[in-house]
Amino acid sequence: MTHNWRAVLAAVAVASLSFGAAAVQVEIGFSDTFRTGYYCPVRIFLSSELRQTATALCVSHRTGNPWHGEATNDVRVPLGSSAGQWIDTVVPIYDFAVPLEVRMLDDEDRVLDSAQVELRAGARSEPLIVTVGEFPHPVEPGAVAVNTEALPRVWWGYEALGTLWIGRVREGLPHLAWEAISRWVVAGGTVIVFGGADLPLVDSPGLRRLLPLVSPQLERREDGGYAVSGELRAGADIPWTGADGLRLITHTVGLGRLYLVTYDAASCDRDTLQEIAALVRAAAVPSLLEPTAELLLTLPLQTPGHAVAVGVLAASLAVLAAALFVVRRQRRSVLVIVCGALMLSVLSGLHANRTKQDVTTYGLETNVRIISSVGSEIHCVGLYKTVSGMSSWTSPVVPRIERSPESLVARYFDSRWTLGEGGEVEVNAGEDEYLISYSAVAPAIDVRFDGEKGVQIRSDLEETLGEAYVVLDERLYAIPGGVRPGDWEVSLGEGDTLAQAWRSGGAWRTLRRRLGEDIVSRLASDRVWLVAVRWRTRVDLAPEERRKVSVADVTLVEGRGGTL
Amino acid sequence: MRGEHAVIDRGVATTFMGFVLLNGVALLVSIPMPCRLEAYRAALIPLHAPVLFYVYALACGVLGARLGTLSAMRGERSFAVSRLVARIALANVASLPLLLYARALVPGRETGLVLCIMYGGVVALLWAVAGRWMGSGHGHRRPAVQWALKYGLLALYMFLPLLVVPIASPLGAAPRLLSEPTVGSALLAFLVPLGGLAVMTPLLWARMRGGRHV
Repeated sequence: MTHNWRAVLAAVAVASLSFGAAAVQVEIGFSDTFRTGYYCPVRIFLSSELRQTATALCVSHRTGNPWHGEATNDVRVPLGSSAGQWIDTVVPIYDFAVPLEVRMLDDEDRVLDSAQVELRAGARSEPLIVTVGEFPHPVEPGAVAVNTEALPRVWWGYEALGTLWIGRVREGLPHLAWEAISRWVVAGGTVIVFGGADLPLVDSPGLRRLLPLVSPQLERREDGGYAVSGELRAGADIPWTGADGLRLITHTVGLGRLYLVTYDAASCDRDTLQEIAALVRAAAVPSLLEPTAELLLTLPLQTPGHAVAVGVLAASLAVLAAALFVVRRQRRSVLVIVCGALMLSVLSGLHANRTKQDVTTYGLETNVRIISSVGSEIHCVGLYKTVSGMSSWTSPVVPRIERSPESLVARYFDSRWTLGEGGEVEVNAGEDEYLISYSAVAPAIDVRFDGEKGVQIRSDLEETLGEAYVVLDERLYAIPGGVRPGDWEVSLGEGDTLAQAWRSGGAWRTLRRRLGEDIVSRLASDRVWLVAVRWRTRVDLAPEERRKVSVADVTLVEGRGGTL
Repeated sequence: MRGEHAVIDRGVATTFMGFVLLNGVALLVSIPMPCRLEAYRAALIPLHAPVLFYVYALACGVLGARLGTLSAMRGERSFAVSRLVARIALANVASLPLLLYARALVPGRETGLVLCIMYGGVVALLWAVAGRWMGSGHGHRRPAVQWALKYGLLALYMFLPLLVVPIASPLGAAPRLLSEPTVGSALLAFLVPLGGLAVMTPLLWARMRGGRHV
């Protein structure tokens, strides 16, 4: 019955196509603009007939070229029953030479319809400057204006952005877009928000948590417009004040930064916008690629023992020597060889069990959880295979693949992912490959600095994070016993400077190498940071891929309650 | 079974020792030295299978040729082929502990390992029959010429097909059987030595019946 019904709908869908109705429309990036090598939002519109028959869609992206090797990167997006006609997804785009193809699939993976999107025109290599809402002048040359509906609902959709400018948005921003923007800022993003009459239009609990003012209020200006004022949050800064009283207020949120312009966008002339653009620090979501690449190849190789192999060889030769000894008795010499060799075979076969067998895939996985008012997580997995083949990974988010080193002779290989599940990527023996992905996490740890009393920590996690530090005023204080669940206080004793802690080696040095200089330098701010880590090794001895992965789960919590 | 037509004698046992030693050294070479991935990558030779399996394929050919020569030198006539089969089987049994230990180098490829050992046995038998045939038919030639002819042909069989149809050569077939043992590739790999055996065995019987031997 179901199949008949689907067949009829499929026929209707095909018929509607034949009459010229556009069954699939695809929009990519920010008003068709995207940054190659980064995540890119993709919005797909399905006709109502197609929406009823299609059970999944496949975003297929070909990279490389026939001379250096090609690959197909397929992302399968299952369509739940609750999905509407617009399907929002975010996929990495690596190359612009070949059009992106979107195929609609039925429950038997037959292609119902497909659409292609030309990528060449919208490809950019620099970070994108994106504006939402009305602006009287372009904020910067090359800035891209988008409507609120096109804003990604997941924070890694903003990965390619340098800055996001939010002007007068009459309809306000969708809640999910605000949440994603907040998480992006915590992970290192940069947002510029305009005050005055524009601020109430986008006001939301999400924005309040990010603003550099504790309780923003609107005040009437002499020229009849409005300005935002209020008490500055601890650590907030006013880097620029205009002649007419306009102020640019900023403060750090997690690893990112939010800028508040006290006047509305319409009150800013071209020069003012350019002045602000020159002062704004571009977004920088920390990259774990470099430290992972540096450490991956320092992993020790796991191999069967040479000594045992020498023993097996010596014993085999001894069996033959024994056979030579009784060679005059023909039956006995055959018996000696057969019995001796079989006995040795059993022993060597038993010894070469799963724990002694070659590991074919080595992995170094670093997961950095950044917690402020919201939580964002950055994942990086470095992969090295001793035998060519597919490497499968469970990941709710389609990872972005990086290869090292990128060069003209670099080869590209296939990857297949299903959104929400995971997938596989082809890795060649002797080449290292990196999977980068992001996720959203709940802020499960809260840290408050209480001056001389020390630091109050509350952890809603179920497990203890065995190694932890407080970073304060560029000094490092180790927390004995790590971060355990519940509420408790830590009094800070004599800490080392970050430089001293690095020089003295030990656990902090290992952690710092894993995180890389980029993240560690950002912790040396005027804020209190809690750094906690859980080290583990994951061994998967599946016959098709024997994998050993060294995992570091790092949690960075931005402390509240004041600065130094 | 005692005497000049024994399955095992000193010459045969010494040949077995050479075979086992060759495979043992290849096994040791196949096991990477304990090091970091960086050093491993720098020394990595991109092979489809550990070195052992290339050496094993080559050693099987040499083992067969040597056993065939021994058989011809002793003028074995009755059950000559059966005796060659038994010796090849014994040689493989003697090296089985090494091959089973090598399982640790190719985890999850047990089917390929079994196919590889069977294939090695067939190649050894082909060259044993060929060696016996060549040894019995060219008594008028100098031993050095016979040796050069036999091992020259063996070298051609091992290396020449690599340029055209790699799977026709044991050096191409063994790693293929180990890593991608599909029915088609396995059939194709076995077809060459089995075809050779189908040709060589009647020729050997015909020659032995003719009474020409050394």
